[in-house]
Amino acid sequence: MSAEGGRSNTRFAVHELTRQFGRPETTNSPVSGPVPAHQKSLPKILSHIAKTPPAAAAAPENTDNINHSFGSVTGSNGLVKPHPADHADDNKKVTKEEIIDEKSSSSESESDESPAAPNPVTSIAQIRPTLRQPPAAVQPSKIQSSDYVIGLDQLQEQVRRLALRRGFTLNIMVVGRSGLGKSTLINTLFRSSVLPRTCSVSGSEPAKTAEIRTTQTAIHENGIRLDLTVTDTPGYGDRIDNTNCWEPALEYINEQYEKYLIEEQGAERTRWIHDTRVHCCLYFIPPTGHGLRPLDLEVLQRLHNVVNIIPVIAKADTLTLDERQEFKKNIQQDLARHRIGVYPLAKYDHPDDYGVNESYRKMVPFAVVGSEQIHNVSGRMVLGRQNGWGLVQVEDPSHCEFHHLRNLLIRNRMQDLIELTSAIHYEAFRRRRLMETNGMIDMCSLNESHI
Amino acid sequence: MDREYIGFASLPDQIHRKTIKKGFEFTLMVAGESGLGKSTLVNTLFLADLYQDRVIPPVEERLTKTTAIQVRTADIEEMGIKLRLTIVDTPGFGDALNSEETCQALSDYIDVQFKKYFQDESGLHRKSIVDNRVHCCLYFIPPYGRGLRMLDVAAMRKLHKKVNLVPVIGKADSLTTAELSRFKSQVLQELKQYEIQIYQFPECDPDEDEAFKKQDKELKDAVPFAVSGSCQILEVNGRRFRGRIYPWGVVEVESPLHSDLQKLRSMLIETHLADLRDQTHEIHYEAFRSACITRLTHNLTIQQPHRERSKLKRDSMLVELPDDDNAADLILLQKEDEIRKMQDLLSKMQHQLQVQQRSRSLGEAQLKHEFSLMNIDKSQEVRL
Repeated sequence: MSAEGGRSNTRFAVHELTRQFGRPETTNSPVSGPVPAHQKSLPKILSHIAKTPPAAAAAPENTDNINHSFGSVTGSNGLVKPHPADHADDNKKVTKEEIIDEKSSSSESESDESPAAPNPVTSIAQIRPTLRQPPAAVQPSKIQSSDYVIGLDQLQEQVRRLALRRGFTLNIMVVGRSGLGKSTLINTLFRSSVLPRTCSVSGSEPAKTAEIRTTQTAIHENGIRLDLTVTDTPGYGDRIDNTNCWEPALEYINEQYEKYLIEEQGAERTRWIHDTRVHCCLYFIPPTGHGLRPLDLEVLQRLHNVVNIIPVIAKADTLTLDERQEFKKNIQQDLARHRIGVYPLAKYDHPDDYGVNESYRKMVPFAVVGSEQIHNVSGRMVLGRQNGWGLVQVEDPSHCEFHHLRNLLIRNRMQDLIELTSAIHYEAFRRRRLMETNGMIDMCSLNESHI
Repeated sequence: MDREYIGFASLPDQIHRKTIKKGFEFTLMVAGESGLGKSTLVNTLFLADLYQDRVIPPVEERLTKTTAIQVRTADIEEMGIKLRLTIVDTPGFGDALNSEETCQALSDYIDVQFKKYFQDESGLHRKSIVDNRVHCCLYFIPPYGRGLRMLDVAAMRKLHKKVNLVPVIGKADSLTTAELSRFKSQVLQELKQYEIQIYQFPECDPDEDEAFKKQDKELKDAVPFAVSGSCQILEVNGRRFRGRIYPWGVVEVESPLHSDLQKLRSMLIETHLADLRDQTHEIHYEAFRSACITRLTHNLTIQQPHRERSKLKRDSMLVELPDDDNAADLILLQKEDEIRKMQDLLSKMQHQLQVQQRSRSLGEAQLKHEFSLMNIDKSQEVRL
């Protein structure tokens, strides 16, 4: 925990996104180091191939090393992998030459275990089949099937590199009354001033109408770019008459779906549609200590079918631990009684993720405290709030659940949130719209039909 | 004939004994959104469990329920002095989606109490008047936010001319010291901006000593009071106190460093209880009364009564000011006069009804004309 805490002090680990892309959660292979490591390992592989011809016996421990450095491989047979066809052709040439050279030099020292032909002249011809043809075409008697791999494990690598090049997009919406620390929490989550601090503006009139305000920033970490869009709802719940205060938020979400739908249906569409759909909605509940308020109930009932919701207890340093447990229990009961599905939903769980998701479900809503002020605690620099009686440390799991929220939102489940939005919520919207309009979409008819 | 003293120096003692026997009455209204620690604060202020039978309804019921007023009474006794405490609570304040009628419900309750007192006062048997008028209203401002919300402003504006309004910041232990001072100044500025009259402490008597004056000044500077309440008794390092225990520290609710609870308690109970009651009786109640009477008598000028407030002294604690008997007699005569006149009107109207029944041949318009003439006569008679 402490090591991770130390690491988390400096970055919020966007680089772990690639881990989410690359493999399913429960693969037991150890976590690789940060991304650039695997890029460094490529030259290593070349040298491996050069030194060890496709031999089963000597290879395993070397290829295990290769596996480790890739960090992601499943299902590879422990042999030296020849490069897949998609890799740059010049690499292949180098490889072949190297192999030939090495092979010629080591052919005499090759033992009988080596399945490859010891004859250096025929080695090229024999290498070629391994590079190009699928194993089925190779006669099984001469060459073992474990020698030849298609190279599917490289696909993960490709996906990851493409994703890195493209960058990631995350769209979050924050919904809650003013003064609950929404901007501070977002800034603390992403370790940068994404949203301007609104409390320092004095004498500002509360927004007369609930509106939508969108802020876009690009965050970089370890060479990975994240395009973050945060949508705020100033004026929500601030007026005396709060009926229909959720309408702007709902309209915004539907508009983004609509935009995506129109682009998707267009005759000429770009290869990669710019995704402005809201992936996640953080709903801020004030720490009353009793339960959900009627306004919260109304809004959550309308939003949970449309977007992934993560409820959050704002300014949780108001509650003692007992009060917090009581409050959470009441909220969970309220949510269950009204059948409001907050993320992570059990029915969309991947069987491997069930355990972790259950623990998240027990913790919902997350009691968080946000702060951008740094304090010195016995040499360590921590984020926190200093009171007359103590220092609330934001990243300490025994103080508040910010740590868990960040893990859920960024480190573990960001990709899942994006996929769910695309696969479930967007599809439901699309189905509904297409059925309503009989396949003809235009923006005018969007806001006439709601839920 | 050798009288060296007359003996009225013992009058204060007599009053003191009499009032102790009678006991005191105090009605406190707590207003504010649910979840701001109102009930905890009341329990902590009076060190009693007044909310033991409280049931918080589930959320779906709170959506459509209209604001109801809940009244709880408790008899508290300390060192032989009895206090009959009435707490007026407003569950569901700010819960509904549309909170416009909540503010109205509060204001209506105060008016109803004033009206009842007015009727009792004008009645014939006045020995056992029960004073249920609201003497003080603690309005709870949520600590999350940038000052007053629109709902707070609307509610306070409805209340400030009817009751002594004391703004209080609930659950203030969630604010850091810097945030708290900024919040307080923001609230004070907005109170001035929206012209909300909160309860002003009387000026300190210039004869008092410096320490008392300093204490008084600290009290005045602490408005609005930032409180956090707790009835849990904790024990730390052998010391017992009331507090809240967090993983990062312990808040002592009765320590002036951590919360303004002690200041509020001393203000409310020790020093200013009498002044609050007098203010209610002589300013707010009189304003209501004159508004009522002028509505009956169509008088054009309304004068806000000005009260000569006694300066605050160190030993002005829970002393009941003697009633001004002469003024009371005058009022009694006036009231009897009014009652007589109203009885006359009543008999005239009854007579008129009989006339109407007997001679139906008279056109309705003519009847109405006669009636209106009578009304004018009535008003001319009643106007003093």
